Amino acid sequence: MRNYALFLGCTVPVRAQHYELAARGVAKELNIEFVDMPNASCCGFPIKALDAETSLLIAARNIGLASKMHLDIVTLCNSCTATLSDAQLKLKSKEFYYKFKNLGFSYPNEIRVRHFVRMLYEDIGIENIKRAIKKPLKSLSVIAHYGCHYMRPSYLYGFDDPEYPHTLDDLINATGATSIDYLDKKMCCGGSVLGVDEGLALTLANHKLSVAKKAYADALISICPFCTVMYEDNQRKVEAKFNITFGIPVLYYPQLLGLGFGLSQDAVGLKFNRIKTDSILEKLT
Amino acid sequence: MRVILCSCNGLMNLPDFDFGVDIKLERYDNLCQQQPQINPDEKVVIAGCSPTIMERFFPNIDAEFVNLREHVFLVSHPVSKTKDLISAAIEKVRTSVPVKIKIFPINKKQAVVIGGGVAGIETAREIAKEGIPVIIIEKTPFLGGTVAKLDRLYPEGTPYSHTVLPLINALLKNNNINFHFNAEVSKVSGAPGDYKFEIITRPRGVIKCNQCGKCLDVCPIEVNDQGKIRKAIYYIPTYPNLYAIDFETCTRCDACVKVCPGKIDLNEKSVVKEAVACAAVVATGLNFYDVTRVGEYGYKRFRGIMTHLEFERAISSGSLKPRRVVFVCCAGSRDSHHLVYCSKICCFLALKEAKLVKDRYPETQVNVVAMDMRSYGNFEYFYNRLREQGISFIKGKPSEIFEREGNLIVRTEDLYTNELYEIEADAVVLSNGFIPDQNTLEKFSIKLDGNFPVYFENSNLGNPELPRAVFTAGSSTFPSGVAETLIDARKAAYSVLSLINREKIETKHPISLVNDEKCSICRMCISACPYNAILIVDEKIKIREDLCMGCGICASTCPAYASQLEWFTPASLTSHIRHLIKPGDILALLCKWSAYNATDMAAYEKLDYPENVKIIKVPCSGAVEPSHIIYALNRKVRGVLIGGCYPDACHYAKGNYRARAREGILKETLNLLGFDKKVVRLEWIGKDEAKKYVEIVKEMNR
Amino acid sequence: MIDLKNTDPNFKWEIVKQEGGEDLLKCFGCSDCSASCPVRYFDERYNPRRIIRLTLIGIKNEVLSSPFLWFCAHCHACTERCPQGIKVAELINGIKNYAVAQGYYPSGLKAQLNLLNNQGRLYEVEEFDLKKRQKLGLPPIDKRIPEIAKIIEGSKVLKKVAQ
Repeated sequence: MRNYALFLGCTVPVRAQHYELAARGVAKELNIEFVDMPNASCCGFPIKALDAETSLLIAARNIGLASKMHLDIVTLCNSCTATLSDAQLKLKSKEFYYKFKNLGFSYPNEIRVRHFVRMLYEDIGIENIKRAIKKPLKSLSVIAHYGCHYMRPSYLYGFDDPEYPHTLDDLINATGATSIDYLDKKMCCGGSVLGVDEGLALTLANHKLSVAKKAYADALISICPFCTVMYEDNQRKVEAKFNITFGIPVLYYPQLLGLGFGLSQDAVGLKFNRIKTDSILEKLT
Repeated sequence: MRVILCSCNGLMNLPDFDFGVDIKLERYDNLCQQQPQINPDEKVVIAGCSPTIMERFFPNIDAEFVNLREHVFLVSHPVSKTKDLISAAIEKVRTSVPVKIKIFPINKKQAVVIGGGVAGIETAREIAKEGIPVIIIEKTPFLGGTVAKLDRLYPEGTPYSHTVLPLINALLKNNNINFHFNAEVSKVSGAPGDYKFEIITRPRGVIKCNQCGKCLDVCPIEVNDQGKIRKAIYYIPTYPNLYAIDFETCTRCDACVKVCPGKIDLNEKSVVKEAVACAAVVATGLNFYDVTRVGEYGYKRFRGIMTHLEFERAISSGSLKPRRVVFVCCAGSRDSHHLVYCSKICCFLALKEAKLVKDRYPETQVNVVAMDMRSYGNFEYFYNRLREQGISFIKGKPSEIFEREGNLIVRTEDLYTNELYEIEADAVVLSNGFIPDQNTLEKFSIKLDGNFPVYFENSNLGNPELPRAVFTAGSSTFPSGVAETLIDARKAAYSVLSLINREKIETKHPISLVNDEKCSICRMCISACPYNAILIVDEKIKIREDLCMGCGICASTCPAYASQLEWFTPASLTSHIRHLIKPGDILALLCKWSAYNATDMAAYEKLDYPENVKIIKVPCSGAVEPSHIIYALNRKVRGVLIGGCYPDACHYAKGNYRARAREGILKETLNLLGFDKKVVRLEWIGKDEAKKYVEIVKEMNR
Repeated sequence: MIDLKNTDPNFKWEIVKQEGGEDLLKCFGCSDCSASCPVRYFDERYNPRRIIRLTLIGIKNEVLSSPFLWFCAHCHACTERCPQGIKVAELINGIKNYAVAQGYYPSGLKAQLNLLNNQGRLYEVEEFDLKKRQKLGLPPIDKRIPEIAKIIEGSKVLKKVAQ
C-alpha cells in the first residue's frame, strides 16, 4: 500500500469533483492510499503575477502541512504542481526559509511534490497499469494534452523529455487506447490569459481542438482542470468565435484509466463532463 | 652564510650591519652589471632591488631575495628597516630546504604523433625529415582525417586533393615513419623525455590489395558513413593503398573472401603493441558535438536534417539535390544547455557549404539563420560575396525544426523585421560545435577543466623552465581551418625537435615533495592539486616532477605537513615571519604573480604607505596556511593581509578560490579566539593596482 | 525616435532585484524565446524579447503600462529554450510584479486576490458544493482558510492592490 498526501487545490474539489472521484477510484484499484490534507488552501498560483514571493509562501505553507504528515504530495492539477515545486526549491534559500518560519510555519522533513499522472508513471509503472486493465479501450483514439507545467521547466522537474514528451502517451496506450501523434503537442491551452484577453485564450484553445478534429480523435485527454476550462467549458465559445463545430469530449486521464480498469461511468463521474461523452461510451460497448 | 648587498649604484646608502659571526657580508655597487660567483650548493641572501629584476641575474641558485630598493628606499621608509628585512631573510634561509635539480633525460630519440589527419601528417613530416623516427597512431584505417572526407576546403572551395595528397607523398619520402592504423593509445606511462605508450590496434581485415574493387560488387552491407553511402568494405584514396573492413557493420558473410581468396582475413584479431618516445604530439583533430542532444532541432528524428559533414558529402556524391536549404548556425553552441563557448569555425563551415550548394545548383533557395556571423579577417569578403550570390541571411535563433506534411519547417524570428517565420526546406544543415579530446589528453594527466582552447601549455607560459614534452597541433588545440592547422603543426614539430636535440631537460624550479613518514594517505592533496600532478603509486603518494607547478596548494592543504614546497616550507615561513614582524606591524603575504608586483608599482608611482608593512612573497594566495596567520596574530601584529590574483585569473587556476574558502572558516575561528574579523583581510590586487594596495594597508593601520 | 537620455538606466537594476529577475542582464537578444512563445505565435503584439530589450534599455513607461505585458501565459516554453539559461517566464513575471507595485495590473487579478484573501481559495465553497461532495462519497473540505489572509497581509504590494 502506497501512501500520499493528496493536494486538491481550488478547482478540483469545488468545480471538478468528478476528477477527484476518478482519481480516488483509480487509486483504490492500484492499492494507493490518499491521505487528505486538512487546512490545505489554494496553491498560490493565481496571485503569482501580482507578488511572486507571497504566492510562494502560500504554496510553502501547504508543503509544510504535508511535511508534518511525513508524506509526499500528489497533485491533480498542473498549476498546483508548478507552484508547489517552485516553493519547494525556494525553501532551500535561507532568506525565504526564514520568512516562512517567521509566519509560524515549519518544514520538518523533505518531501516530494509530483503530479498524480507522474506518480503513476514512476511509482506504479506502465507494466503494472497494463496488468490492472480489465477492459482495454482498443476502439478509442485520443489526443494527449500534457499542459505546460507537467514537465516544463525541466530544471524543476527533470522528468520526461521536454521537447518530445511521451509519458502521458505511454500511459494512454497502456489502457489500450491509441494516443495520436501530432504537431504542436506542447502548445499551451491559454488558460492563464483567459482573464486578460479572452480572444487570445480562445485562439490558443482552438489550435489544439482543430488538431483533434482533423485527426478524428474520440476525445482530448487533459491532466489539469485549468486546461479543461479552456478545452471543455469554453469549447462552445471557441466554436462560436471560429465558426466551427467540434463536439469533442474532454476526459481527465484518471477517468480514461478508470474506464480501462472496468469502473462504471458513474464511478469516474462521466455525467459531470460538460461535453457529453456518449460517443465514447458507444464505442466502448 | 653569504649575504650579498647591492647599493644600486649608490642610490641605497646601506649602514654597517652586524648579523653575527657566521654571516659573511659582501657589498657591491651594481649587481646587475657584475655578479659574484655562487656555487650551486650554497644558500645565500641577496639584498638589492626587487626580486622581479634580481632573479634575472641569479638563475638556478638557492637565494632569498630581499627587496630593499622598492620596499624601503623608493618609498622613503626609515633605513633601519633594511636591517629587519635582511635578518629575517637570513633566518628564513637557515631553515629553508634547498631546491633539487630535476633531470629528465631525453632517452628515446623518437616522437609519437597521435592522429593521422592533416595536422598529424604535417607534424610527422617535419620531424621525420630531420632524421628523427616518428610513430603515427591513427584511429581509422586511413590517413587524412576530416579533410579527406570533404570534397572541398573552405572557404575558396579547393578540392582536398590539393592539400592532403601532396602532404602524404612528402611524408612518405621519409623511411623512418612507423604507422599504426585502426589504433588508439590505451595507456601512457613515463615522464617527459621517456614516454611509453600502449597501443591497441583493431583488425583491418584486408592483408593484400590491388584496389580492383571486386569486393565492393559483392558486399551486401551498405552504410551511411556521415552522409556518404559506402559498403562495409571500403577505400579512401589516401594511404595506405589497402581496402579496409568496418567490422562494426560487417556481417562476416564471406562474400568478399570468395572473390578475393587469401587476401582477406575476417578473423583477424586486435593486438596490443608498445611504443616509446621522448615526446608526443596530440593531433586528434575535430571532435564533433553530438547535436542529437539539441532535442528541439530534430536531428535524427526527421529526415533531411544534417550536420555540415553529412551535407557536404551528400551534395558531393550527388545523392542530394535540394531545392530549398536552410543553414542553422550555433546549433548547440553558445548555449548553456550544451556548449557554452563558440567553436569559431562553424560559421564559415556554414558559409562554405552554402557556397557549395549554390555553385552547384544556382536555382536552389539558400537561407542562413544565424545569431551572429563570426567571419573574421578575409572571411568577411567571403560573407559579402555570398550575399551577392543571392543567399539570404536571417538574424535569429530558430526555436524549433520539425516536419509538417513532408516538408521540414524551421521556425525562427527575424530580428531585423521582428517577424516570425516558418521556413520550408528540403534540407536543414546544423552548424554544430566541437569539443576537446578529453580522452586522449587525460592519458597524459592533462586536466582540461572545461578549458577550450586547450592551452594547457599556456599554464607553463609563466615559467618556461617547466619540462614539456606533450604538445597539441591543429584542431586538437582549437577548431581551425587547414591553413592554420598546417602552421600549428609545424610549430608543434619544431617544439619536439628542439627537445630531441638535447641530452636532457634540466630544471631547478621548486616543487612540492612528500615525506612518506608523515603522510597518512588521506588524499586531500590529490583533489586540491589543480594539475592532476599527484597520484598514488605503489600505495604511496607521488608528486609528478614533470607536472608539479610549485603552487604550494597541496602543501597548505596537507593536515600533516607531509607535503612541503621546496624553499617555502612551513618551518622556513614561520621563521621568516617570526624574525620579520614586530608588534603593531602589518604582515602582507602577497602572491608573486600579481599582488607582490603592486608593491613594486607603488614604489615606481611614488605612493606613500606606512612603514610598518612587512611583505613576504608567496607563490600563491592559496599557499597561505591559516596557522601562519594565527601565528602572526599571536605575535601581536596589527593585521594580516593576504593578496592574490582576481577570481578567474589565478596563475594556478583556482588557488585564489582556495584562499577565499579558507577565509570564511578562518574568520569564524578568529571570532572564537577573540580577534576582530577585520584583522585578517583577503584582497584581490592586480599587478598594476598600486593605489588599491596602498589604500588597503592604510585602512588596516587605522 | 527615442532619445536615450529619456530612458531610465536604473530600471534594469530594479528588475534584477525582483523575484525571478536575477538573470535579466544575461540576455543577448537571440529571440529563441519569442520564436518559442505560443502567445507570440498568434499575437505579435506580445513579444518577450522586445519586453526584455525595452527593460534593458530603460524605456520604463512603455514596459510597465503596456497591456501586452499581461499576455504571458507563463507556459515556460521560453524558459526551456533560452541559451543563456534565463528563466524567461519568471523574468516576465518579475516585471509584472514590479508593474503591480507601480499600480499597473489587470482587474481580473484583483478579483482573484480578493477571493484568496476572503476564502483562501479561488472558488467559494457553498453548502451546495459540500452536499455534492457528500453524495459522491468525497471527504468534506474547509469552507474558508483564514491563514491565507494572514500571509497576504504581510505583502505591502498586495495590500495596496486589495484596497
